Amino acid sequence: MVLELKNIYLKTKTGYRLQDISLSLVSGKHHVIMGPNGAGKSSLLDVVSGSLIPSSGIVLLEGIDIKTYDVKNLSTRRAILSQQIHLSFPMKVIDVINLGCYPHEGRSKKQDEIAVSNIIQLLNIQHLENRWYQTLSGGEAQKVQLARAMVQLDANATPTNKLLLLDEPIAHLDPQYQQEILFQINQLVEKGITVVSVLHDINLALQFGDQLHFMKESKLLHSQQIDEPFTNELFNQIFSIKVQIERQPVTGRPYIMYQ
Amino acid sequence: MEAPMKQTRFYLLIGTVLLMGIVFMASAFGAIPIQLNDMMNGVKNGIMGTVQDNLTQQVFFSLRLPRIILCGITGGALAVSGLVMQALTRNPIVEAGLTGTSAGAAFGASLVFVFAPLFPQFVQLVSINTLLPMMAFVGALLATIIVYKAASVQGVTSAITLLLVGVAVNALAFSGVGFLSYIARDPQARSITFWNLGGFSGANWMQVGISSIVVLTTIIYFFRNAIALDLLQLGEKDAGYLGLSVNKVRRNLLIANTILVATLTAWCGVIAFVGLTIPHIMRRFTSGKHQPLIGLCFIAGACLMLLADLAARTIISPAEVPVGILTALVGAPIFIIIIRKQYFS
Repeated sequence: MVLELKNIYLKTKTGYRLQDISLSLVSGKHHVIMGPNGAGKSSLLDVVSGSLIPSSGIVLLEGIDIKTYDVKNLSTRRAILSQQIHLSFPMKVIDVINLGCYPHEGRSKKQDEIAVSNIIQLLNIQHLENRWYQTLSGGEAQKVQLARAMVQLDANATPTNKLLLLDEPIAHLDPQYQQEILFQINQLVEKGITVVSVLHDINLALQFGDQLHFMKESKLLHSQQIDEPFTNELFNQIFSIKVQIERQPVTGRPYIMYQ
Repeated sequence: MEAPMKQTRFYLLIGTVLLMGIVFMASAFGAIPIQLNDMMNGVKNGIMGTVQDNLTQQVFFSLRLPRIILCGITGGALAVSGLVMQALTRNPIVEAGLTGTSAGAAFGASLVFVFAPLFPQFVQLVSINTLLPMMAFVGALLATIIVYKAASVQGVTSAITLLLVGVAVNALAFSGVGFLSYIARDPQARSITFWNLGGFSGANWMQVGISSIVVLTTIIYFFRNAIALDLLQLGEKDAGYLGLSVNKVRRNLLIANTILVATLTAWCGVIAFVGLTIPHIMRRFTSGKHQPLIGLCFIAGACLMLLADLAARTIISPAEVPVGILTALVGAPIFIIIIRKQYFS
């Protein structure tokens, strides 16, 4: 169990953004948080990342309260891939990826170079290394940011007990890049990394997620494994949509068709 | 991976050679031309304390050399300060002046110009040469503190509120300067105008000594924190996710930057465009990392300021043009060309 949330409440001036959320995330799986706009998905991700302190409740990372982690130590255990990041000034791709080395104090320059080069090979982005980040397409830029997050976690050398949080990382990308990036992320999951993602596209969530968590009105309403049967009522209750659930012939995974 | 670093080292070397050439030119030319042997003997006799025997050597050691050093380190430091401000705010149109520092200094200096003649006994006690930089420094510091305090909400200062409040406090301080110019008598109003246009004519070894210590300390501090400036390019939130204590680092860098700019502005007045233009030009010579950029910006800023000052004291010699006019005259068109190339191509 890499991450546990116990009775999380998050209250702001405008009301509750999270209410009584308890969740245990099994390591080495791709967890997807789903729900309509304003359900509290991003707030939950902020709490899980340690960047928002809940009003009450506790977040345990590897059994230890996330608040007690030293900021650099925490950064080597969890990384966040946000929506597209725009740099304000020109920067080479290799230097952007190198930023992931920052929390790894005490590592030699040579060790940093090896870690970076391994991740670049793993994600197959050698051809982007010497380009200017600003000249990349949205999909290429997200791959570079994924590489930077992987370097941050030192995911190639020690993938277990590492947490990668994805805050709608593929929003606004071409379908080709959506598939490519989520495929690469799932390859990382197979290596042992735990992924928690917020995805808007239900079919992508069903295609790539291992465990799905459904939120609505700041509460966690339902969690289930991908291989457990889904019901039409669930989607109706969460998203207020009518769907027909089918199974993909090759993978056996479910997908929905809007009615 | 090593190629860009080698390239940067090459540019640093070229820049250093260029800077040395410009320093020599600035030493040789002026109201009185000075030969190389007079420079060497001037320094030697200056240190020995026997420089007063030779007028040329005395001009070099007591007037020109401190002016060149102060001018060089001010240009270099203002360029680096602009670089740091742009990186901290993730905004390409920022220089240190935008957070109220220069405007506050101008207001402090203007107060001295207008009110010092009303208190002759006090001015006799504390000379105007001490009072002016002191008040400029205090003004710079106060205006910057006001900007930061007003821009912070619950201890968090976002870049955009900082810039907007900076614009407002600048307007306020400059309206104060305008009012003081309006009520001032003619010679005082002229002094205010001259001070606001910047210059190095009053440079002396004491100013060089204090400025060198402040510049060296802050530049080393910036250099050691250059990685933080790289990280901040990802945005405040993502830099924080990577383990950077964003608020603490930013606060410390801003304090260092304010002390740096306030000290330099106190001696030489408001000098625009160096901090804005140089970082933009130098970014083209690196891979975007801030550590080599700090070195390149310092050298380029020093070169530009020395050339501007050389022009300022030779164009209408023996009179002088305020150096701020020339930095803006050269800097503004270059800036427009760069911006057009960068954003419209």
